[in-house]
Amino acid sequence: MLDNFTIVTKGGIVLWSMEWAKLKGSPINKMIKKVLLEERSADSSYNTDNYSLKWTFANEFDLIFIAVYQKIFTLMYIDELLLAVKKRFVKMYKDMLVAIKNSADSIELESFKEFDFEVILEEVEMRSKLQQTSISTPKRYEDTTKGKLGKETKREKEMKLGTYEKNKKKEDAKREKKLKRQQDRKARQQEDYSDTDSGSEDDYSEQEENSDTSSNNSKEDNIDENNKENNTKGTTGADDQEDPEITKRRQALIANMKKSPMSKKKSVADKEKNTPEKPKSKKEARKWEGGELTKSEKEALNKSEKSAKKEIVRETIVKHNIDMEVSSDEEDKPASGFMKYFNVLTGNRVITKQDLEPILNDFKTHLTKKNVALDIAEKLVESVGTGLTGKKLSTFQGVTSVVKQTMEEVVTRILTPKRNIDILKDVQNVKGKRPYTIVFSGVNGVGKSTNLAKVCYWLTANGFKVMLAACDTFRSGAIEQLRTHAERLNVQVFERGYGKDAASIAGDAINYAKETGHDVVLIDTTGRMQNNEPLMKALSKLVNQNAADLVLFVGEALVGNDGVDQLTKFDQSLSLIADSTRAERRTIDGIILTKFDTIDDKVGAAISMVYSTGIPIVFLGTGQNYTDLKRMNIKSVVKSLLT
Amino acid sequence: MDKIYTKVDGLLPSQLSDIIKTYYHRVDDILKPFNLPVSTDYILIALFTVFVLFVLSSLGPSSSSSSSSSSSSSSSTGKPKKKGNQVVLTGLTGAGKTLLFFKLSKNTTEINTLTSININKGTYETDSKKKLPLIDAPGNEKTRASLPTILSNAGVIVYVLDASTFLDNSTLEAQNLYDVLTSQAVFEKHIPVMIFCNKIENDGSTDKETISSLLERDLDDLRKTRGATPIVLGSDEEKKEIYLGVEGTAFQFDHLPYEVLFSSGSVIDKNDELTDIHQFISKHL
Ligand SMILES: Nc1nc2c(ncn2[C@@H]2O[C@H](COP(=O)(O)OP(=O)(O)OP(=O)(O)O)[C@@H](O)[C@H]2O)c(=O)[nH]1
Ligand SMILES: Nc1nc2c(ncn2[C@@H]2O[C@H](COP(=O)(O)OP(=O)(O)O)[C@@H](O)[C@H]2O)c(=O)[nH]1
Ligand SMILES: [Mg+2]
Ligand SMILES: [Mg+2]
Repeated sequence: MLDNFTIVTKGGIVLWSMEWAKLKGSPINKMIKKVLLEERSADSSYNTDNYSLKWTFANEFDLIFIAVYQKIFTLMYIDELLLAVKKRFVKMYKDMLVAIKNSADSIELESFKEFDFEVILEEVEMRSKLQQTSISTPKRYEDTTKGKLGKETKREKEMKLGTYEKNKKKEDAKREKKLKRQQDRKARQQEDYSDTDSGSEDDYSEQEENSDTSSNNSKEDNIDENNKENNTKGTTGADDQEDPEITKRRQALIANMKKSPMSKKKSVADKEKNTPEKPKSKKEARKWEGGELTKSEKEALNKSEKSAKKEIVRETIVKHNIDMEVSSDEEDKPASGFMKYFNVLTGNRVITKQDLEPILNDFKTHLTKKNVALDIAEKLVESVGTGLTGKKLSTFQGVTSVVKQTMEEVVTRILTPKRNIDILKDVQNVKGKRPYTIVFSGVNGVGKSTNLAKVCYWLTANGFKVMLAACDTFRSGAIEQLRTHAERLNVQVFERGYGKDAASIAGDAINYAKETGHDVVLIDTTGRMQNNEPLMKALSKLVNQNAADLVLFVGEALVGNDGVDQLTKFDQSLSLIADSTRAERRTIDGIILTKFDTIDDKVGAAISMVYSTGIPIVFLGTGQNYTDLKRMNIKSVVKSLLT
Repeated sequence: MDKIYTKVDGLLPSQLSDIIKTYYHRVDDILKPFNLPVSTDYILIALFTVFVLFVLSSLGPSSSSSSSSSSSSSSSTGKPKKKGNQVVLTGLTGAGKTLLFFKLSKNTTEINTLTSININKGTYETDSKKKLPLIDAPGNEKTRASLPTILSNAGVIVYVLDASTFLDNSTLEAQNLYDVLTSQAVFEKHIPVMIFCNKIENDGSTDKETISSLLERDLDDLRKTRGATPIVLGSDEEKKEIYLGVEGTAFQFDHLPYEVLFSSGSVIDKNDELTDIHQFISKHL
């Protein structure tokens, strides 16, 4: 079931919110932080704890619509609900939303209180249910054994408590109110569409019939609620589980109807055919409005023939499709002729999907040319697309320049680390107590040893006593390479020759460093392929057994798609052999991206790696000298990427 | 067709000529249906002249001042540049900035907030009825890159922190405050900063004196380590790291050439009128 629906500005102000069950934790904030702020809005849903979240943007007003529901339910109508609510909300409060966007303190929360969310929810829920029932045998809740049981127990209980009559009255009153509101709304919609919809009269009465079904639905809901209250759980959600077969068939049906150009006419014809079977809707409607719906009348309605019911259902679907078409027309109607020029001049042009598509495609190609992994380039442009569709262009602003600017912001956000890694401060913090240990890992020949030497130079220059640990016990010449660096840098190397267990050498090195008063131990490791499980396990052992303070992944800036694979596998493998003393899973802490001097402006690997793992780039290797170790300037990377 | 931009191509930087190209086509598109007797070139020249005049007249004084300022060196002893007039709320995520935004602009806390992605703009009215722009900056780490721009027009900064979780976050808090205090704008314009320790009504909140001294200690460490990190790669930002306070002595907020004041309170508490903040703003703007 839906637990929460929230409408919030991108500034973080909740304009409207409804809660059916108190949320545990803060799933919405989590979603904003983990998805929206990390530029993953290409995803369409997010799961956290027991919740599933779905959302949609109204970019013109910087609004986000968020639905939260229990993960165990598959709610078919959430997407539709989000769109319907968005449409209604934006339409209803357009002026105020513009004002709020310009000045957040012009907000008047009072005015949002009247938002008729429940009506929309009911409608959408009903449509969804009807679509289900239309293919399978009509399954009214009351008709199912469970439903009957539920209803009977409920009645019994109420009788016992003597509240039945009272409740019934309340329910009736509630239903009337709902009906009335619904009709008001219909009337309003009618005004909106009157010129586009020729069969408006028929539709009007048809909608009222739907209202009847919907009021039945609302009764169901009441029962559900009641059941919950009485702790006789288990009947809820029975209707929400849907047979995949049904889904398939329903989709086929809808597709068929969409295809048929006659669908609309047909619905009207069907309608006429059916009218005699049903109460004269229009008159009845008036009567309902007057609040005279008697029990017998209701029963008569319920007893209506199965076949007739099916017809109504079909009509609803058709009607629904027409409805959608009308609405999408309205939204995406491209301005034509003079209006178009006028809109360009006055800056009233709204960015459409069609505007974006070719530009985003170009950007995707551009990004892949800059060495961004293809799937990541795709996700990036999609994220930019979702953030821009529906936004207004200002005067003389081109879509391309807006996309570029947004792309810039998006990439900047991706590259901005969540946590600043301040190695000097961390070393300082443990200085005197124990040596600080840094492990350099990565595949073969990427520059682990060279950049280890650069880091050594930098730490030494900052007054720390550094020791190197030669734990690449495999590649011939590795120890000699380290020795050469150590001589030049005037530091000590700890070595135990080739072929030994790297993890225990590292352990010995750390102990030795502690005894000799070293502040930092830099651990060189053997290059290994990310798919070599025994070697990856060995790395995990080295890191966890010795409780390394910082694990760096060294990767080449030249790598293409493989870079992401390397990094993710290294990251995952660190937890192969767990360290029981750590509460959290051991991960790669940072990246050194080497050979940055050789790639010109093909900086894509940086984006791919950070986007796919969220691990920050600590240093860039920019050459063969000890001073060629740089901190990344996000601005200039973004610039290289987008020019 | 010999479009006008082809004549200027090469004379201008490529970016500029790209812009001209784009607009040329757009104007061309707009004008085509009218079948005007003059060519688009002339109309464009006329429009461009008007535009240039307009820009020059409206931006003239400010643009010249900004160009002169960028050449002056950023030294703490030099004369500070002119500040903006915005009241900017900043601080880590969850500190209570957005709620404070509403308390300052509408005197209400009857509002629910979620974490901000974008800034909120509003108006703050001083006791003397002066209206000032009020900006609530998002605090999430991922939005950090936008902070320099947001701070660039600040007249005063209210740095909000959560006093009830401070001890768990002090390092992060110090890093973030360091970024604010060493930002180009604050440093060059001597923008006064109020550090507001929020949520003080919670049990176990740290008092502002303790927070102040812990921050001083952490900032002292940070200015050593930050200054020593390898230079940022990229020519446009190889500026020297700004040194906070007086070299050779332990860092103190008093050493800064602009006012840094501590205050504590509770935004959510209806009876807390946040007098310090109001006074601070009135004093400086
Ligand atoms: N207990 C207590 N809670 C507060 C106080 N002020 C704000 N909060 C709560 O702290 C939470 C975060 O407040 P926001 O104003 O949204 O935080 P923010 O600083 O804007 O956060 P970002 O937008 O993520 O940067 C909200 O739940 C507030 O209700 C306070 O004085 N006391
Ligand atoms: N141009 C350039 N070459 C580098 C950089 N880092 C490492 N190298 C070179 O890459 C090669 C492999 O380096 P090495 O440290 O032995 O890699 P390892 O196998 O990972 O330890 C050496 O020739 C290094 O000089 C860098 O940042 N830029
Ligand atoms: Mg090596
Ligand atoms: Mg906020």
